[in-house]
Order: sequence, then structure tokens, then C-alpha cells
Amino acid sequence: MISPQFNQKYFGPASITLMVAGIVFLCQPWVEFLHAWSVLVMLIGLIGFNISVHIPAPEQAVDEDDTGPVSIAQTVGMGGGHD
Amino acid sequence: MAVVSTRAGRLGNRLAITAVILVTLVFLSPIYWITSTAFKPLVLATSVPPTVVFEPSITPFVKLFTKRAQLTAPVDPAVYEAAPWWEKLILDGGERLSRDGKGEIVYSAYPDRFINSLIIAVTSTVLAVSLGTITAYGFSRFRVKGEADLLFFILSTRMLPPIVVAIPMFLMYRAVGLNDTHFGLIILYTAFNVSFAVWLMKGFIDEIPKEYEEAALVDGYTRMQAFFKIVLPEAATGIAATAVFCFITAWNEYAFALILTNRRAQTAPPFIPSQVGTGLQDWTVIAAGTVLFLLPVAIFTFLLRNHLLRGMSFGAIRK
Amino acid sequence: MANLITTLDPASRAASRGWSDTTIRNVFVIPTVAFLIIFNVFPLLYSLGFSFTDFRASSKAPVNFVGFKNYINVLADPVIWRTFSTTLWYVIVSVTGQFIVGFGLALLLNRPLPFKGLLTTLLMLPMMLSPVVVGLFWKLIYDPSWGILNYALGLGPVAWLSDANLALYAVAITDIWMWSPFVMLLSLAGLSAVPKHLYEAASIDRAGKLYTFFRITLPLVAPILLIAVIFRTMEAFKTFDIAFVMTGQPAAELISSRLYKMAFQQWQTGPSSALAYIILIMVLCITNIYVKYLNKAKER
Repeated sequence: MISPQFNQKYFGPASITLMVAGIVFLCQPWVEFLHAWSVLVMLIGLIGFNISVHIPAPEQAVDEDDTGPVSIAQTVGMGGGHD
Repeated sequence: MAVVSTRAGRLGNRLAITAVILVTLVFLSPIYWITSTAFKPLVLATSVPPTVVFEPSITPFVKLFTKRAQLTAPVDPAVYEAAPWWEKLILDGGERLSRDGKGEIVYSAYPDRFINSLIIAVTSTVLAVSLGTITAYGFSRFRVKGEADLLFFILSTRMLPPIVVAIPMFLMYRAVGLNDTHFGLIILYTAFNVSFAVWLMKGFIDEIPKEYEEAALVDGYTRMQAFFKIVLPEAATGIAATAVFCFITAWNEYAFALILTNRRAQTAPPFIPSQVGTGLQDWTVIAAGTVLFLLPVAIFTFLLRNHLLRGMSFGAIRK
Repeated sequence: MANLITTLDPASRAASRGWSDTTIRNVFVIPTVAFLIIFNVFPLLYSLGFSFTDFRASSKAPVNFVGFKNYINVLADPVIWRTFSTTLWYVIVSVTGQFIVGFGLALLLNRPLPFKGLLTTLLMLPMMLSPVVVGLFWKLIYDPSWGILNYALGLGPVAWLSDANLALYAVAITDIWMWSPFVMLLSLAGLSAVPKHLYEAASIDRAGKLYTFFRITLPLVAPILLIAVIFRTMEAFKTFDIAFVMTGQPAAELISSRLYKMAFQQWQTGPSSALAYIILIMVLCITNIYVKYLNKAKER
């Protein structure tokens, strides 16, 4: 399995890069090879990203001074999801 | 940046004010142009050079609602005298109103399309906001498994390009006979808007303290009573803002209406541009139709101004 | 759906009268989710099926399974490829324009001004209008002979919308007009959230205007600007109404218009479903990125 640290550091960003690269490949007007395979690149990135967001974030050092309100999005995010 | 006390600062501020006013005027000029075209006599609408100052006339709006034919002979003065003021405007322009066998004036398709737009936008807004509010309450107050995924799914349905969804929708509607019906368009717009309503309403309901309901529960209310008597009144502003947003979206929608309707249930957005292609185009009439169509949105924008940002950002930014 | 929604907040057990919380939650949430599945997921599955066939909605000919042929053909079609490139260029031009005009306006407006509320409301008007109607009246403004634009700018009869080199920019200008206020609005929200004491500290340190802008203002507004830019990028990729109404110039054809013509004028239902799926994957990629940053901004 993908460890949370590896996910946050490499796997997540790599998926986003693949998605963006796929879009650029699809729309660039120069290299036909890239255009033809762009959809596959986007699809891999999309699937990777959706796996990545479901891996819980690594435990963070809690800021003792932080007394700010805990937002709903954060609470939800702990259960894994698109955050 | 905010503290302005020096002389240079004051000068800068004055320059900024001038610039802001100039930019606002430039931004509004296209809207002024279409509005002024709607009040122009026919010859001035496409004059070269363009006419900026003119005597406004209401004739385009009379033309918008009626069907007309070219006058072949001069009008009988007696008939002219007997005609009401708005018919005289048409006769002055060298045209006469079309009448059916019984002598009744034949109306153009515009009022029908406008009413279609109204029926479809209002009904779908009511449905979308009702569904959206209760779903948002469900998400806001109860723990739902896979909540983030469900909310993402709900949002993503809103992000789909309309034409992509329209291809299968067209085939499905054709199979069940929903093409070109009000009902078909209403449920489609409801589906389109409900996702938005859920996201926006969730933000508004999250802001209502849970303690209000809990106090009501202690007082012997049921959950449902608490929802209807405590939460809904507290969320009234949010509901109104969401409703206006949903209404504007449904009112402005073009792609689905273009593909899924053609006559009976056609709304104004596909109808207005379709007038352009037909032979001799009268820009004053198109402009009149456009102005009437844009008017509700302009009014709602003013009513909504404080919630606009929140709605446009799907509730991400609150102010 | 029912087995997805099973856990219950034990803290809200107080309401044992009337419907239980579980019932209420299910009654409140499930219909909407089911409704959206029927109206979004089901049609998309339906067209996923068609994307692997040679189905034509206009004929009753038997439908054959053709595997990935539609996808291969669509990706090998030079016209579709060019349309994708045009669309990307359109997105770049129009989003950059919106960003410059919108952020510039926000910087101008971010000070105490008389009638500030009225001015911002007036500026917001364009983005609320129907894109198709906006496209229509800009057509009147762009008209080469009687249009006000050429006259106001003192240009000759420039045929904005039928010139292959200009049509795309003409559409982009209209889009910039419509949507810069959106970027402005978000930027203003970001700018007004910058704590005042940071500026005061900077002025005590005698920091230059440029330094203050790049080291304090920009980093603090960046997250919100990013949201505005991603959102507009996604919307610009989907552009249909404005471009479709304004110009028929092939050099300015955007991917949505191409898809519309393939599906509803040439009735190539199979290939157009394949193209629709390619666009869908692209838009889903952007949506995923957008929601990620949206939630990040919400947490702040």
C-alpha cells in the first residue's frame, strides 16, 4: 500500500501533474503522439488522484496555541475524501 | 495602502476614483448600447455612423409582441384614426398588424417563449431549493458515511459540460417522449441546480448554531418541528439567495434548451438568437426582446449583491 | 445507497420523539442523491455504452460494437485536434485577460471610495446575464459596418467575427468583459482579508510599494486567486453558448461547438459520445483540482 507520507509527498502531486500534463498533451498543437495518448495520461492521473485523496493525511504535529474554530471541512476530511 | 493621509496619497486616491468610474462606464457601455437600440427607430439601429443621441420610441416593443406585414397601399385615414396609439406606431413604420380570420391580432412567439422561461425557471427553482435545503440539512447535522465523496459527486454533476450530458439526455427523452415538454426541462434544470443548492445551503445551515435546535429538542419539539420552526426561519436569507441563483441559472440556460426543445416548451434563450437568422432582421426588435429578457436578472443582481460572491464560489468565500 | 449511510451521530439522540434521526437523514439525503444518479450517472453510463458502437441517432440501422475504434478515430481526427488546440488558446487568452482586468480592478477598488457598493454591483451585472444573449448583442457591437466598436475606436470596417485571425479574440474579449468582475470580486474578498497590521508593519519598516505588494499582498491573496483562475479555466473549457452564437468561423470553433455539430447535426452518436467522454475526463481532472483548492480555502 501507499504510505501516507509517500502519498502526501510524491503520489498526490504526481497525480495532479499527470492530470495537468494530460490536458496539455491533449490540446497542444505540435506532437501527434502526445495528443493520441493524452487521454490515457489524464485517466491515470485522475484515478491516481482519487486513490490519493482517500489515503488519510499523515498525523500532524498539533499546534498547541491553535484555538481557532475547527471547520466542518476539516472534520469531514479526516474520514478521507476530496480535500 | 489603506491609510491615506499624504498629499501624494490623496492625489493617488482621486486618480483611482476617476479610473474606477471610467472603467465602470466602459463596462456598462455594451449594456447601454443594447438598451438604447431597443428604443431606436428602425433606421437608426443600423445607421452608419452609429447614432448615440436620438429620440427614444417604444415601437420596437410593440413590434416584439405582434406579427406584422408590409403595407401594400397607404392606410385609410379613417382606419388610422380609429387605431389605438400602439397600432399607429406600426402603421407609421409602413407596416400593418397581422390579424387572424376573426380580426384578432396575431401575437408573435415571443410572449409564449417568455412565459415558458418563466414557468420552467420558477418551478425548477422551487424544486431545487426545497430538495437542496433538506439535503444540506442532512449533510450539515447528521454524520453521513462517505460525506466528502457524496458532496464531491453532487458538485461534480454541476461541473459537467452541458453538451456532454445532452447527448444521452436527448436520446433518453426521445425514448420516453419528454422532448420538447415543460416537464422534461423542469426536472433537468432541477437536477442541474440541486447540486448548487446543496453546496450553498450547507454553508448557510452550518452557520446556524446547533444549540438552537438542541434547545428546541429539550423543549419537547421533534427533530422535524425543530427543522421547520427553528432552522428554516434562521436560514431564510440563505434560501432566498440560493433561490435567486438557481432562478438565474435556469433562466439563462441555453444548451439544454436548444437541444431538448424546439417549439412548445422552447425557452427564450434559444429563441432570441434564432430570430437573427431569419431573412430581414430587425435589430430593434431583437434588442427589445433582449432587454425584456435581461431585466429580471438585472433586478435580481441588485437584490443579491451581498451574496453574489458566496454563490459564485459555491459557498467557499463568506462575507 | 442505504448501506453507504449507516453511521449515526450518537450526540443527536435527543430527538427520540417523532421520526428518528436516521429516518430524517435518509429521507433528506437519499432522494437527492438518487435523483442526481438518475439524471447524471445513468445518462453518462448510457453514452459510455454508445461510445463503443457505431450508433447513429438518426437512423434505425443495426448497432454494432466497434471497441475503441471511436476513441482512436476521434484522437486521430486533425479537425478535432485543431479544435482542442483552439480551445486551449482561447482558455489561456480569456483567463489571462480576466485575471489582469479583474485583479487590476480589485486593486483600484480596494480603498475607501464613495459609492463603492453601487460601483461593484454595477460591475457585477455582466456576469449574471445569459451568455447567449450577451453573445448576441456583442454581435451587434462588433458589426463591421454599423457596429459601435469600430466607430468608437476609430477603426475601419474590421470584420471582427468573420476574420479567421480575429474571431477567437473577439469571443475572448466578450468573455473577459463578462467574467473579469468575477475575478475582481474574489480578489477584493482576498485583499480585504489581508490584516491591516501587516501593512502598518511594512510602512514602519519603510518597505517600498512594490516590495509590500509582492511580499505581503500577493502571497496572501494567492490562494483565492488560484481558485478564481481554476474555476474560470474549467468554465472556459466548457464554453459553448457565447462562441456558438457569435461566430461560425471555423478557425474559432471551440470543442463544445464541434461536439454539438457532431452529435446533433451530423448525428454521429457513437463517435460524439467518445469525444464527449474525452472532454468529460478533462473537465473531471480540472474539477478534482478545483475542489481540492476550494476545500483548502474553506479550511482557512
